[in-house]
Amino acid sequence: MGQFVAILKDSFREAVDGFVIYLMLGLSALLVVLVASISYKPAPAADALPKLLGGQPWEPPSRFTVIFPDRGKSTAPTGVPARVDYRPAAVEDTPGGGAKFVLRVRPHRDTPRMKFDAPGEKAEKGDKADTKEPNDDDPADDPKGPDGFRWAVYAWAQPAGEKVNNPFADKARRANPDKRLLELVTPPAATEADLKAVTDEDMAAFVRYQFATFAGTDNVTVTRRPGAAEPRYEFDVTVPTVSGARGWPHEISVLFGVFPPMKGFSLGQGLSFIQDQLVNGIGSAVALMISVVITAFFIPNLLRKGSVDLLIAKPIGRVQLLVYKYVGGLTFIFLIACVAVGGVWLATGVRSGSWDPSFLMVIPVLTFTFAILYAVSVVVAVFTRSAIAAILVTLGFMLFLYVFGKVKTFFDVNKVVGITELPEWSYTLVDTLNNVLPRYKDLDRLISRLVAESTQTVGDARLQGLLIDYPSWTGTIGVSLGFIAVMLALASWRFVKRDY
Amino acid sequence: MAVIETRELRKSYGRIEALKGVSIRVEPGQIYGLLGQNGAGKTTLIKILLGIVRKTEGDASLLGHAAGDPYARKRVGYLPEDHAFPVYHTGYSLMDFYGQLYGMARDDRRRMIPEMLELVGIAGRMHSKIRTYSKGMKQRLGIAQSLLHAPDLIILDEPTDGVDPLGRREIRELMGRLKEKGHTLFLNSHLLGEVELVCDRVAILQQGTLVREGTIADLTRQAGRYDVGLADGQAFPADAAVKLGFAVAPLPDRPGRFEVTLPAGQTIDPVLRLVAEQGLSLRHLVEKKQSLEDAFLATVEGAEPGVDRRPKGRRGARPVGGDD
Repeated sequence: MGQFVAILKDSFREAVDGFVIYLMLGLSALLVVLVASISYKPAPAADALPKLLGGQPWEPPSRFTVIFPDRGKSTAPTGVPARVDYRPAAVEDTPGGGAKFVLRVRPHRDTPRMKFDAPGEKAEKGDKADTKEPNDDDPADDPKGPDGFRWAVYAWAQPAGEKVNNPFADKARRANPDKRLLELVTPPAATEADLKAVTDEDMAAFVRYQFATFAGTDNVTVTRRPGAAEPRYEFDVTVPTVSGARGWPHEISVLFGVFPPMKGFSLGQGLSFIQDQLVNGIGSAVALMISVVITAFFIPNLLRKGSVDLLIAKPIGRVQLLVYKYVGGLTFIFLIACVAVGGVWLATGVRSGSWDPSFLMVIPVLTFTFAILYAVSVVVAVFTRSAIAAILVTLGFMLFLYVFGKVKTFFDVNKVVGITELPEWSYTLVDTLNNVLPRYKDLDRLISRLVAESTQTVGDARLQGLLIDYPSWTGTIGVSLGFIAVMLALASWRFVKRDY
Repeated sequence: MAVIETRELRKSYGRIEALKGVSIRVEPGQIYGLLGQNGAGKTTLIKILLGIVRKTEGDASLLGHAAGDPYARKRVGYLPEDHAFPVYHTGYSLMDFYGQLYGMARDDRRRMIPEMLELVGIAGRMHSKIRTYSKGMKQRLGIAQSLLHAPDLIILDEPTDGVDPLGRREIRELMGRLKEKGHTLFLNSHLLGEVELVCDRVAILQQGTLVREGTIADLTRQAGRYDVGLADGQAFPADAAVKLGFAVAPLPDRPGRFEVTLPAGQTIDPVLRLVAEQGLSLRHLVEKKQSLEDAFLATVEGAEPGVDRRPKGRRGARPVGGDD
């Protein structure tokens, strides 16, 4: 143990020797300051609610129309054929940083309704009911059809149906094979009596769940207001506070408010951009590449004549020495990751109030990702004793893994949707390689998932498809660990056999 | 139990034999010197003992353990030739690092490190980065690190390399003190004068072969050659001595003195009797000696230096580890 600690400390000294580590720490500090300069102010309820209930401008259907059956336990959503609109009215901001308003629910207009087997009057596809502008206040202008809201509440409360192919998935996957898409479940069949059995309490619970799922607000009070004729409904809704609500639209200012605030983004979207795109995406890539370059000199330095003799002559086995040195080399990126990720986490926590520690997992995962690359670097260094060779091969391997990740995704999608004809052997080759190569890209995806879970609302994360079909931690870590073990075994074999 | 023992030790790098059956034995408390030209195999021998290089054939043991055994290495201090200490360390932190590798307790390290650095005269710079050290300071640091854990055996490969004359004398004195304390020293040096001054036994390697081995006195003695001088005014009976089978020649730089060379199997006694019979007075009789350097040169004269470069077109390690 003492020898391990000694070599760790030695590696740490080597890592912090020279200006590059300080440059990296300086850049990390700049990133932290940049993130700390970003402020998140909840948008006034009057501005926020239409966006929240009506969806974002580029997402015309309201997210509130998405239903996760089994009272939210199903991660695959469903929809009901008769959509509803959710509109706020009589909106007030309350002194405690919350909001009070009336939620009006009514049948959705101007949307083609498909045929369906459901109780009540059947809607016809393409049934554009009105040629004149419909009067929102006149229930008589409501489209004819089943009570979509009662059906939504009923579907939410029922167990999830069978999974079905998303009819839009094939086209979207062709456009972007890397994009993960939702799987859908069939809505439950409901009789007239089933719908009638939905109580006011069920409706209130559903609305509360939707707010918790898509706005990230807790302790929302929902009471049905009397008076509205079904299929219209009205609820008194009180949100005690929107502070820290991930789905609530925020005004996001950068550089301490030097520029006008950006509007329309939720707190979760802002945090997700910082943590996933900025830190886990760009930041990680830069940190990995620089770390590959810096640490590529560690083993060749160790193997220099006059240096290796001193260490081998000490009472420590060669395999131990190499493995300890390898682990020690990881301290470089670990240190940078701790400063950058820890700093960003603190800055976002202070500025947004979001203290979910999941983002901190980027530190060990980034270190582990580097461990894969560094294992390659160590093998090359032991065989060639050349830092340049280690850098070139490792960066090339990094690029290869990235490209292979893309290829694997394409093959997976192609297997399902058949974008193009490919020979069977190519699938075998890709699958075999995937089984033996480290899951570099999967690690990135798993971190994206963690970040999504920690920054976005449950509903948003699910809607983005971030919780579907993700690789398992066990498989990803296991195969990668196996790869590292093989690389280190190869390097150790050479190191043990060689005379110095 | 010998501290170091090798029997018919061989090391080959492909077709090149770096060691050709070397057998030596170093007893506890000795200062043992290893001499040889560049490429003679000195550093290879040391590296085999420490497990840095693998032997091809033969036996090698260190402190009763097989060469390269970690337990034996724990009791050995080693200063390699052309050492390259990591320059990101200070003298103190490097010693601390090595001390940890030897399993020394923190308190012992804190006590011993300044003491050892003081011993070699660089305690005042122990917190400076090694990259700021002169070559001589690095050499002193190298010696200090080899002594840190109070090893039973200290192997020093060119310990005075880069050290000024005053420093060399200090190192010689240090080696003497270490011997007095019971340490065994194994010394590899090109500076034959130093070896002659401090070593008890010496081995000379020539192209991987042990060509001479013994005490300094053994190696420097010129067996069968005497410097003889009589009282002032007396003439040495050279003709009579020649008739007895001895070779006699006047010493050109010492008037009145003669070098008498014994025939094979003969002693100096017939000459002494002759002097006595003729009533002459013997004033000077010394068996002639030579310096270690002379003995070394006489041993290796005419021999080609060993190979210390990789054969052209061949892959693999260099035949020998160091410059030797």
